Amino acid sequence: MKEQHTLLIMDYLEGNWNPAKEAQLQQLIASGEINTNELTDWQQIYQQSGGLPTPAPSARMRENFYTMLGEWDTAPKLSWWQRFSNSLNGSVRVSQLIAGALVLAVGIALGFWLSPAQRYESQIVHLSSEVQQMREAMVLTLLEQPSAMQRLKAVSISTDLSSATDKVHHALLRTLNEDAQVNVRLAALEALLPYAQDSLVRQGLVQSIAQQDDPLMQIALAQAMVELQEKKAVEPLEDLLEQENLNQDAKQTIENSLKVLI
Amino acid sequence: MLKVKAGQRDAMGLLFERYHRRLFGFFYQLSGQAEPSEDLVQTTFYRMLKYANTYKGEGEFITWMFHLARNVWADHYKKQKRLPTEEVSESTTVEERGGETADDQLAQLRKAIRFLNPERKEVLLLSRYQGLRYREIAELLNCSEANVKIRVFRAIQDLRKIFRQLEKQQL
Repeated sequence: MKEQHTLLIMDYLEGNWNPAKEAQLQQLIASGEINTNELTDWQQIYQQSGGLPTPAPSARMRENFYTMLGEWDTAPKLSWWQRFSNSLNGSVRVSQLIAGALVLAVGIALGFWLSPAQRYESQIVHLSSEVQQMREAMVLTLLEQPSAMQRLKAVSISTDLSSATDKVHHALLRTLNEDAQVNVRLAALEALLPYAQDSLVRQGLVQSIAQQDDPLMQIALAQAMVELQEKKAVEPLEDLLEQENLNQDAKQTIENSLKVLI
Repeated sequence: MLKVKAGQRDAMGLLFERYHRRLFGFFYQLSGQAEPSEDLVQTTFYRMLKYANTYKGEGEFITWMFHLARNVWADHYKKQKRLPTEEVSESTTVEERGGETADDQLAQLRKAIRFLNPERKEVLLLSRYQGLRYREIAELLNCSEANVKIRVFRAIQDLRKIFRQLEKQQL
């Protein structure tokens, strides 16, 4: 096929079209240089290839990235304890929490080893529950830290919880709506999505649409609503579309999302 | 990226949040494997940090990012000592057959893309899946915009042929 014909077909597929091009295309079809069946197939493939589904990456990827980022500048090799202490920015409250958690863990471990064999099972259950509670406390504390890195770490830890309580859900929703950093808000959204079956989380996500003014967040939430097939999001998404200063990319994503949801 | 270059490491987190899904999608659509794709995303961000000083601020950041990503992908498959090409085989499984729903068609398209020549697969994904402009792809591939358009069309033509071949195998 001639180069100019190829470019004409590409213009057709992209919708970059005018009556002169239409006449040229019809002429090529009439002369048999372009087959209408092929043209229909190309158009279908062109459109479908823009919407290929991709699974979401795992939480491990974010964790690995922030670990790498955290360690990037530590040229002199520090011990794990030094790295951990430094990462907490010397916050007394958090250090106390960590020290308390360590003492608790040692106590539980000693109790575990010294107690009779028949109690092992219940102690393991108890130990798991303690660890879960410690992690939750860690999440809630780190979410309040002034450093965005610390807050991201909190969100990352929250994704490791086997099941999060309403307290953690509330804290993540507050971060989603109020955190000053858009990357923290995006991370909070991803952390909340696995809990979207919970009515509180689902409702919180829908309500959050109206509170986001950053295009990245608007896009991410619109895509999340499609993923969740949440019809209640239609109204807040339509409200967003009415905003005069809405970012063009966000507008397009929201429009596409509404087409799927309605 | 200029902030990262100036030593503001936190800005890298924002870049990660903004682009990690796109990069993951790029590697996933090329490889069809989730876990190696996550590692490749990590390697790309590692190189962004390592080579931050090579980002001049001229041109678009996304072009520079995909330049690094393409190199990461090329190195990955050099190490594997093979390119992810397959012949269209006769071994279509029963699970892969079925009606003509939109989901089936997308699954069939994904399958067809796996058999596409790597260069054509890449240009198609950059254009259609990643939504890069022809100008940006032309900069990446060091060719003209018209040439990119032609390459995208060749990929679509090839895909159609593979599509038809797969359909025949299922009959």
